[in-house]
Amino acid sequence: MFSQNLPRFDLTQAPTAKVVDVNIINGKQAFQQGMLNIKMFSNVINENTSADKQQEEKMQVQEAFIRFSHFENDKRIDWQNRRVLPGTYAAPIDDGLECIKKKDNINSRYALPNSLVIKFIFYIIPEIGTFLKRGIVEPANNYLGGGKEVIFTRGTNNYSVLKTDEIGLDEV
Amino acid sequence: MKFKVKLTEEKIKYLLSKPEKGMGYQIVDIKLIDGRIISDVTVLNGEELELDEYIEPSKILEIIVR
Repeated sequence: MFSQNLPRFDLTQAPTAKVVDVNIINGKQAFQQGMLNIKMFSNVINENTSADKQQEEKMQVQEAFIRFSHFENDKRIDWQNRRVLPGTYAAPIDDGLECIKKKDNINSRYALPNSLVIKFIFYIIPEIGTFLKRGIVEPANNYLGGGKEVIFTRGTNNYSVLKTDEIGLDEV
Repeated sequence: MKFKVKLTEEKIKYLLSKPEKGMGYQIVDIKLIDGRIISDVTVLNGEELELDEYIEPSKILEIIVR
């Protein structure tokens, strides 16, 4: 879906970063090859409360995120500009991929309604300076939550949504 | 069993301007034309209400995001 005209992201400001050319490699492949081994969740969360109750902060280093979705045409994503809208949730990529690897129940970890059967994952790499809040998913929808979450309070920059993958739990 | 009710474009636009409650969903109260208020309704993808009864989208007067 996003094969043309994608920018090249320089992740060299992160501690163990390399340059990822997202024009030729998708997020899952990049992670598998260690190319997204960047500092993915930089700030310690001091309180076990949801992201919306935390202080807004600016992203200080390059980080990557995953958004799980039931919908390929997820309406929280501005597909024309490949950015997420203000007030959109995602998970740090390490937390999201760990969930997939361990075959955890995604709905449980992120306390999502049962009707949201997760079928797609979107990779989000916003620019440094993006505003967000970080937190721990609180119990909801008859699930305990407990996953890490972020909310992009002001949305993300253009071309920050890099890739859509149809979820295949055995592939990661 | 839950009924899925697709919202009008105007309501979708409004919901997309408001924050989510979690990844992919919002919680809202809806006011109906007949005066009834239905609370704690889940909206998926900013466009689809999950309700215990079917309601015509045109009968929805207002949506309030919680």
